[in-house]
Amino acid sequence: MTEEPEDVVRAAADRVIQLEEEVEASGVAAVDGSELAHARAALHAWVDAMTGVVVSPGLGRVTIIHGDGRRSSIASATLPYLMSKPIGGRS
Amino acid sequence: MADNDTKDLASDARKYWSADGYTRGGVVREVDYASQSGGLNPALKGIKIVDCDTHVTEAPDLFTARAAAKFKDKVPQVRRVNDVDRWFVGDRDFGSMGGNVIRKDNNKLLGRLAFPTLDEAHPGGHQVKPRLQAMDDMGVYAQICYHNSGVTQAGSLMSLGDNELAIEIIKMYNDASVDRQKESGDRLFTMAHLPLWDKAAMDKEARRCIDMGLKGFVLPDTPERVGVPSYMRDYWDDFLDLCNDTGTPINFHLNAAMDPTALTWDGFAFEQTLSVVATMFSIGNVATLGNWMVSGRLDKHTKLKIGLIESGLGWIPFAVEALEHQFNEMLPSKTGMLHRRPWEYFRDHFWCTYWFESIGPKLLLETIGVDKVLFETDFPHPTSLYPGVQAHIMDTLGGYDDSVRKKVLETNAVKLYNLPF
Repeated sequence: MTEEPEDVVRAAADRVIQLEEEVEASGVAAVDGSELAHARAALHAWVDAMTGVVVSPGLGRVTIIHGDGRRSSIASATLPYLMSKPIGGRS
Repeated sequence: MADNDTKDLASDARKYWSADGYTRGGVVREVDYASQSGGLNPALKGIKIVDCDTHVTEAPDLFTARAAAKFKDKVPQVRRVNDVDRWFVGDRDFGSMGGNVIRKDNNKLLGRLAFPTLDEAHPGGHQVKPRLQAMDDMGVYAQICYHNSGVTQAGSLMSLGDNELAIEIIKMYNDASVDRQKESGDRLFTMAHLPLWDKAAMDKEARRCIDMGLKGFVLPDTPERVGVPSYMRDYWDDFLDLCNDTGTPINFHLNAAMDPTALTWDGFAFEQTLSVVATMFSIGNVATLGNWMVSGRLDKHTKLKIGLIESGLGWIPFAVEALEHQFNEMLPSKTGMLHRRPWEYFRDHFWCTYWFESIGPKLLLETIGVDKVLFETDFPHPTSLYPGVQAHIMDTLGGYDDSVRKKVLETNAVKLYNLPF
């Protein structure tokens, strides 16, 4: 049986929270409604404020550089490819 | 925060943490080469030492010399940028040529990953004849070789947007490994790479590599990190069956899945960061060991052989005991899937290597298993045993009898990699 998309999202969020509980940390999930809308808006604003980025597809990692030089790493199996231009250029 | 601090942070952030490792600097250690490189110690007579972790720098013409006409202008090429030799595919920077801290005059560079340009480094890093001479001097008969640069990293190749080219680059790398093996007279055995992102191409190339006589594969611990299915998926069934059935080992060279900047403190110089990161990458193979043991894969592929490379051995009793404890406390629900215990999985499937360690080989060899331990030098990397290989072997294995020395230095590797001697 194929899981409904919302079940997959909820299961992913629950797994993150469960693993964090191993070190007594608590995570707050937002998977729908106004809480998700708020999270998206905050994330957009944060990305818009970045001043540099390092794309490392070999490591599955994107490093965001903020205006004061601080770094934030995003481990992702998809984002580095979305941000890489094919050789020969992308129109 | 002062303005200067902010400027320093901004400057630091604009380059990858290891970039300084390829810049000029560091300290050169003057090596008394003649007194420390006299070949095999007479006490080890009759043993063909197999050095199970070394690195071969991809020669600048490795790809251009082998590319078909349609790929000639597209394959990786070396360019010098800001006094550092680097790989490029088109206009894409594919990183440095990899670590080689042995200088042409046999002295060793400390505190850096490599000399900035290939011509400053020991030619044995990328040429067969001087490599064999260095091995003779070290008293090493054969080497298991790994890549040096990141030019064949799956994620980087996947980002090119040209699957045919990406697969060809992998095939050329493997062809070069076959050529090197032949040119060395079966003394240099390079672990093959695969186009992990394309199942059909991966399975076909794996078969081709085995048929060409290559002796094993090197794989990433967590392929899902770069968008390739996890080892838990049936995507890997055919490849793992092939390795299982042909006795071809898979190898995990360190585990660099962790983010170095998440491990170390802001404000460190390159040398400080590297000291911690290199240690953690080695111990990172704890995760590799654990992932395979809890996965159920080893119950499907009961003859699979796995090398834990450049990760030492002192941590192994702790890690296996920790997993034994976890099997008791966390995994009772998986007893129907996991038919053996961690120590049994270890002894049935895994091999480990040691180089700089003393305590591990002296005190833990029999606990880990004299059939499970291999020797390595990591030549020509910064942490390599160089020179003085024989002295370290005698220090660590001198207390054992000849049969144990021969297993650790030769026959364990010969059996694992199916070597022709």
